[in-house]
Amino acid sequence: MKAQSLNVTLLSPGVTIHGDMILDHGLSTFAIIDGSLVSSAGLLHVGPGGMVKGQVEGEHVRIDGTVEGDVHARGILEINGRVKGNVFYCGTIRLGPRASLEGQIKRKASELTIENAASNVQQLSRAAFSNVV
Amino acid sequence: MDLRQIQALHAQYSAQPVVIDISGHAAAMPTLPAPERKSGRGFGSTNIPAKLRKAARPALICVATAAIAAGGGVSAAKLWRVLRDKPAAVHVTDKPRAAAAEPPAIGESAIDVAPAHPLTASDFGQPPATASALARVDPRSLSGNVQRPSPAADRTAEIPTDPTLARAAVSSIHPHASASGQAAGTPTSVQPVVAAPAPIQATSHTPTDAQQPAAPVAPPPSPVHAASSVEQSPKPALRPIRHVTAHHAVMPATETSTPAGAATQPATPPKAPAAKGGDVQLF
Repeated sequence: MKAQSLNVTLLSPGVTIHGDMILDHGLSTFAIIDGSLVSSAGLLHVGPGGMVKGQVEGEHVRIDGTVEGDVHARGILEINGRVKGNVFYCGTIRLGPRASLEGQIKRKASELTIENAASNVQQLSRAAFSNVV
Repeated sequence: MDLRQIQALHAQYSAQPVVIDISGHAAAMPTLPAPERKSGRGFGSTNIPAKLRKAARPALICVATAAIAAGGGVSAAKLWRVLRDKPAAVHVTDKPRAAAAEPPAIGESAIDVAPAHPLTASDFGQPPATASALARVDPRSLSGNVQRPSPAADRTAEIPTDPTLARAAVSSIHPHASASGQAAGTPTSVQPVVAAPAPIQATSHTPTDAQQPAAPVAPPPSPVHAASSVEQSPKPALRPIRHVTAHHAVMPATETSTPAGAATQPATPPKAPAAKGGDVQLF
């Protein structure tokens, strides 16, 4: 197993973004985002003072700020802030003392991803590369 | 939150992919034989006894079931034979009686059977002249109307009168022609029945003639005219028969109303049906 280096994106307070953000790693935002946040891996963290007006979808989701939209979590979901929308989770959910929910909580079936061996991945990548060339 | 706290938080949720070591699991289960080895080797001697052992019980069950079924079948066959032989004996005892009773029935049936060849006059040895006279007669005229006189009498009355009537008599529609001829030619015996069409026609055409006495005087259906009309088309020959039946239906009422005296009465009653029904329209 490879030792993955920690890769995190940080949005500091005082930043406003209009549009969707799609990431393949973790994110911590203290900014105001008018759009959806989608993260395929890592932690998607909406820090205190941060605000998202749209859908939040990630592997692990922790919300300490405010989200006005649906929240999807494939793994762990921790809410210690305010959510105006429905919450969907596959693994575990944890609600903090400052959690405020205005919507429904639904559990979905877990989506397991089985990673192939490294050799197979390399072969697939080579085949794809040869097809492209 | 400073950067270190954020980094610690993210490190806490860092992705750790789950790896399933299949080879390690397989090595941890040494009791399981390798499937390839077993498929390669053991199709020979080791499997046959095991299969035989497995198949022994079902085979025994099948054999026992078959034996039971065979025994039941044999016993059923014996019972069937016994039951079948008893009614056969009864039938054998009954058969002579039936055979004794049958011969008279066969004789009766032989009598009832129609002869292969119809009997002719030559079979009885009669002279050929009478046979030819009978051959001219249409059998339908014999079976048609009971109230009419015999066709022989009609022929004796018709033949001398006119040669056209003789031709009509020879033809196949002779009975209709003779029926129409009787209306004018021989009023004596058939007057109340066959003369009926004549008054109807007379009253329908000329009401003054209807007061005259009915049958003998009525001129319109002359024998020559009737015979010629019959020879032209066979269909009109059927119409007087319909008139006769209609007249039969009317006649009893008129007879009850006027018993015997009035000679002019028979002409008047047909006037009503002639005006009512569609019989006159047929002419």
